[in-house]
Amino acid sequence: MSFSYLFPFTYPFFKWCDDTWLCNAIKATTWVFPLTETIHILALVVLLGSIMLVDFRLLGLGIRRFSPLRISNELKTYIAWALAVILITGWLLFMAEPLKAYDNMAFLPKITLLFSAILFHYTAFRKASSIDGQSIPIMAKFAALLSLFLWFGIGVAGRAIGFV
Amino acid sequence: MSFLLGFCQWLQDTSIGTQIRESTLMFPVLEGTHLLGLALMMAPVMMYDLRLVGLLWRTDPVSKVKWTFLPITFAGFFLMVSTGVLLFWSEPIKCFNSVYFRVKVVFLVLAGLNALVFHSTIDRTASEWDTILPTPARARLAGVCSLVTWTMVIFAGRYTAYNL
Repeated sequence: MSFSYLFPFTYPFFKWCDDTWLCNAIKATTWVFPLTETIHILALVVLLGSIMLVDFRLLGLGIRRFSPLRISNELKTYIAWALAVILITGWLLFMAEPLKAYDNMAFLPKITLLFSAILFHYTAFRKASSIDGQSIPIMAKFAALLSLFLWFGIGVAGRAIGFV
Repeated sequence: MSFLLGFCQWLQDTSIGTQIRESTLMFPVLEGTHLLGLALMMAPVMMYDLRLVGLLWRTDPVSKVKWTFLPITFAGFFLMVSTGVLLFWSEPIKCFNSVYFRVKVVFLVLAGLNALVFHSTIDRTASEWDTILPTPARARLAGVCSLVTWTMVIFAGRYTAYNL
């Protein structure tokens, strides 16, 4: 399921990334990669943790004292910032070894899930999480399940990048 | 220290430790679940800390924020501790020798002490400042200390895995 297997025509792009000064600069150091990855994980904790709270509320798993709208309103700034940090650090991690990402079986699924998750989060999910009452329609619960599935999937695929 | 090292050596040689270490899937799965537990625990902890600091949930009483999110905090904490014990079990000698793991333990203790001091002092009068803003300076300090110590725990925890 890698870029090299399914979309070999993208090779020049990955090769170009591999030749940029940024890639060479990151490769030349030993400390940038672990530091970037650690910040990536800190952002993940904030992002995944916050989104899970909204999901749990929609599914009726606790947090009943606040409406979904209330929770998502409080958290949306943190979610947006965490998303920005995770995208920037993720891009740097990618730039550290673009050709490895090209061949990696977990990288393509992760990117696919990531773009789906962001698109979903700011469209259908935003509508679901703007419910300001106690009763949650079945479609909103379904949106919460899909949200959990997408963001977990990104985490699992991300974890797998280092192992496959 | 030699007692601790002896304990680590014994732990490393137990069959559970060996099985986790020698399995291909166990370690990454445990690590992933450890992170999931972390996100599950840290999001509510940060909610509460930021309420203490006065940056989130400003229009809601401190106690409401505390009790609403506490069950999820405990669920995440349980998941994190149980997977953390197993992760440590699989490589105690490496942890013993790792500077970062020692830093992690120090900050875990500091995070615990901060919570202990907070709950046994200023939190005892929490009903008096439940809805008053700004919150007392000592409550704000406890919130900041919690955020800083937990961030350091996550940082040092990630770095433990790098073998730097």
